[in-house]
Amino acid sequence: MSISRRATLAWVAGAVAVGALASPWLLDHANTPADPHAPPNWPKLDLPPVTARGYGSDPNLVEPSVPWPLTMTPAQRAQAKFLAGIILPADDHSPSAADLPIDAFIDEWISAPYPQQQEDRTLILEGLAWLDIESKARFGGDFAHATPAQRAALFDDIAWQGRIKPGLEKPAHFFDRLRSLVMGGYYSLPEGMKDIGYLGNAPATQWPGPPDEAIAQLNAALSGLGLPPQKT
Amino acid sequence: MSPTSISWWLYKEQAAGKLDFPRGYHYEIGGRFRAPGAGSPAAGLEDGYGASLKEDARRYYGAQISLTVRGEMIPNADSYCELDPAVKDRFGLPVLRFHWKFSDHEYRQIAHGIKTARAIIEKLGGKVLTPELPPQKAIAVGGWIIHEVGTTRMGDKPDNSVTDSYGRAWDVDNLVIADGGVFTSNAHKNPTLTIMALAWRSADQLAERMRKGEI
Repeated sequence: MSISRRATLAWVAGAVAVGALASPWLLDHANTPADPHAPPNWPKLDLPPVTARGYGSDPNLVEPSVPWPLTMTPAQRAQAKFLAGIILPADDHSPSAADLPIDAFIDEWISAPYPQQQEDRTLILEGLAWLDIESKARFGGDFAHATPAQRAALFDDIAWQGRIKPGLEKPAHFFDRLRSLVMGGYYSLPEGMKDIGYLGNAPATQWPGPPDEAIAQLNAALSGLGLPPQKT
Repeated sequence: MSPTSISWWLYKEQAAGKLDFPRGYHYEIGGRFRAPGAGSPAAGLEDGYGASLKEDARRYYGAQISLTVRGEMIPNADSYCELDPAVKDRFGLPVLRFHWKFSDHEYRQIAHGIKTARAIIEKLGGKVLTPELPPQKAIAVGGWIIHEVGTTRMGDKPDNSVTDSYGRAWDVDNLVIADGGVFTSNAHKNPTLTIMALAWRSADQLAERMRKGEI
């Protein structure tokens, strides 16, 4: 079955919302400082609030639709696309994230009328603006026009845990969130799923039973407990 | 979440007084193939950018499990409800006011559970990703993960319980409480079957008393 981009997005957002209630992993994530100290050149954007309606409590998951309008400007979309390509470049297994509609995913995510997405919107849009401000200060031009070596120098200050340049904690937080969204979008598309070998639910017409190796290991453990062996 | 769990196993050690907390806990085991990024369990392992990030995504996808401690809460004198002296509902009746606190029993139990869980992961050859937190911070907020039981607890005397062992209220002769209210602690297991068994027992006694013409 081919899954449309919009349908996948709806499911991802739904799964994340449910996960927030049920998953202990998201609690771990909450240990990241929410608002680390920003550098002096961090921009404060005065964004008009998103007032569109959300899915509601009982969305139609058979024919999913996204009720809120997208809010990123063409320039922001282009920037997100460009960065996505650096975060997940093409290799032998899968295409560059810049060649997939990851910018659309990010736009849809941060345009959603929910508290977490609205927090992400401020962080992502301010972060995109900061990259250009910082790039101009360091290299005299926008991030997109910097050389690959210059871009790498900037990214290396904010992209690696334990190696964040002091004073750039807020940009690093932005980068962490952007990376998370780029990956979330990328690996929920068929190309990304193929890369990591995601199979999904697959029907099994027969059950061959556990492999001999597993049975042998189980029987060794049972024997140690003085219990009779399990038959294959 | 997986329905798989590790049941409480230290009955003997507890009976021998080797543990510093009463009752027990179990682990819920989680682990599934979830896409990298956007709330991924591997957040924290997937680092940097570029070719190595794609390698991270392949390597850590589906390679994680989680152990969650679910323990029994012991009743304590700081956790109770009473009629609110000031707030009334729309019928003019006082609402319930709740007081609630964990005790050292829960903190010691959680500390034991965390220590053991970390040892299990390490023994499996894994790397523990969760930061080591004191039990006061690691424990979920009260009321977050619960089965609603207790409050009208059963007991053997009216001064420390609401009902007798048949769910019959000490104060009202023909009132029988047949739900989770009569539980004396909040066990770490699902309560429905016990609630049904207790309700059955209460109903038997109620029928018997009616036959005898006591009510």
